[in-house]
Amino acid sequence: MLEINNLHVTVDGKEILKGLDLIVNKGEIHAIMGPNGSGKSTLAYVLSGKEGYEVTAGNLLFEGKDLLEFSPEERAREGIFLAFQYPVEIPGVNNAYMLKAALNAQRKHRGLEELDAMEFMALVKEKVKLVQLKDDLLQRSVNEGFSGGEKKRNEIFQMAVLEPKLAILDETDSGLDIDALKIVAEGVNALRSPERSMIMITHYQRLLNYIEPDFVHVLADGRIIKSGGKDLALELEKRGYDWVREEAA
Amino acid sequence: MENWLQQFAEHRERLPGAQQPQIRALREESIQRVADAGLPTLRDEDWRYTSLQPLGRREFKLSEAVSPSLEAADLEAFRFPELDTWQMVFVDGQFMPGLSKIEDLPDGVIVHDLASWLVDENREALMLRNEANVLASLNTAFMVDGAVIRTRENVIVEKPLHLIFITTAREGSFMVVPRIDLRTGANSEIRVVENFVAMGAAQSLTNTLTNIVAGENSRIEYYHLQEESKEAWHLANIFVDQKQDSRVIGHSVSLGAALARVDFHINLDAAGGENILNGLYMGKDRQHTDHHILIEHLSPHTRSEQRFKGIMDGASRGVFNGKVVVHEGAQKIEAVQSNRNLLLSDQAEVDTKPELEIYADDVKCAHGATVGQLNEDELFYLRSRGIGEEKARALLTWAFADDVISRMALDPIRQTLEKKLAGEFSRTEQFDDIRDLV
Repeated sequence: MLEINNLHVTVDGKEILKGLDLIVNKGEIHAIMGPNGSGKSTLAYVLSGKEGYEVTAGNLLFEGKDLLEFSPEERAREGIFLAFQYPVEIPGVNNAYMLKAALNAQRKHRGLEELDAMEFMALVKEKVKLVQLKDDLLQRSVNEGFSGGEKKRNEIFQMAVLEPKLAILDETDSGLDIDALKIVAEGVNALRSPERSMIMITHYQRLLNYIEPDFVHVLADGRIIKSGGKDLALELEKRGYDWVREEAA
Repeated sequence: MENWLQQFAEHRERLPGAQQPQIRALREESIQRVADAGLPTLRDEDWRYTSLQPLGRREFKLSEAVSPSLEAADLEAFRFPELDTWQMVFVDGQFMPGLSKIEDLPDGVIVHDLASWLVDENREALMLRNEANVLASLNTAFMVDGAVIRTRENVIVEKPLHLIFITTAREGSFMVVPRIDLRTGANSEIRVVENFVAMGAAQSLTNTLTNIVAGENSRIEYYHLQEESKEAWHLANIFVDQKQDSRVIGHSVSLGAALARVDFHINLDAAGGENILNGLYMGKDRQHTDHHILIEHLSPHTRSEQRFKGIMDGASRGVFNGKVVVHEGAQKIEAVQSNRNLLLSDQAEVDTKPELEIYADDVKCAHGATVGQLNEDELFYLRSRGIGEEKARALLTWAFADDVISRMALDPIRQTLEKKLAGEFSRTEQFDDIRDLV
């Protein structure tokens, strides 16, 4: 589904990713862990097409297509979803309205009928239960005045409605208390499917207790320096990152 | 200038009230003041960014009585769906009784056309104000028609009064000079909508003046909605005097005209007076829009609030100048002013200047101004969900504007404007009904 080869990315003239390789197959969940500043969020933004991230070498293939040719909206319509580390507040833009516009843009791209307001609200009612988001938040401006936990849940809720093929969860767990984390994890688990792949970027092993990955990768200094199964996460939790770095060096 | 004097000489005998000595004298004095002072120039601090010089070069003819073949059906486009109003229609400056609806007004409300008011010997004197203002003097010299509105004490006027000023595409440039004179009795309530619209590319100059005196504990909500033709000039002076405990809420929307200049002069000279002013101005192509606000806190325990937003596209230019003066002894004042501007193109320009002058010590005042572009993070967030770039930009621009519109109490006006703005901001992609989920 996703193939990243020798990816080099520069931000403001500084090289952040220095030859990253990663293959994600259909239905797999990959956890990417690593110390601060290792390039985790850069990877998330490059995949979703944010401006200011210059790919100087390597390539990104999604279902065989060159992602770098696509705008952020085209990537979303192809089925890529980013759950933001810091979801953006957008005053004046209604949450439900935004999501309906997004869903219909994606459906149109895929040659499906657009949903009318009634059909959309029925879908929303069903999906909103997944993350226990209060109804009134849907009628507020996007993320405006939401608590940290509500913002993260809103991201997962959007993911549930948009049903992406590849979801990138950028530190979705950070800043959440254990109850909120459980709700978010349950939501994500409910969205697991053989058709859907996920990349979970995280700093903490804790999340992986609730969402079990198929693979764990260590990202350090712009490269994946070690990959393994879920046990690797436990070892990282115990021993930190230095031993992996030494091993890699 | 020559043109004005010549126009005056030509029309002085025909202007309404010409047979009334006081009115006649008033007009003569006013035109004399205009002749003495001349039009403001860029050297005047209040006119630093807006030049009226091209006005002096064009020969605007005072619009004379015409009877355009307008029918009620032609007005539908200018009415607000599902808003039941009293209505006065003016075509190229002239009151059209046949198109208006001011009969059967409830007891205690007077709504009268200005022209016949001026010829009525028993009329109450018109309010005059700020004779130093040349455009106001020009209005007094030439005022052709308009509305005189009075509410008696304790009268709540349920239906809004909709004043529709229509200019039509005619040969040559012409001038319309409306005047609105509104006075409310104690504890009364009224809503008035001034709506300036065009049929076709009218090359008109509107020089309008609104005088408002809000009686004790009365409440007024008024709208100044400017949608003149893109060839037109729109000059407006709005004077508001507020008595004790009165509350005046104004909404100013400026979308049309090649050049628009709107001046608000608000006097809070009795305790408990509150004035709230919301504004939205937009420019495209080479449009120029200038808003000047002067708030005078003359009495303690008064409150004012101005929130203006500008959206400038193309090579348009926006000017905002808001001045709040808290006079000596006017303690316990609260004054808030903000002006936020969105620039949608590299060629657009905004000059904003919020000013505070405070001569009292126990006051709460805040003001601020910003000029910026659409937020890139917000844009990316929307696009990352699959919303196209153009629609994302339109949505964010709409949200910026809607913050002002959404404060309007009259829902049908709010909805009509919201739709209009959605159409303005979305060039190719269709907006579905923006409010269908709200």
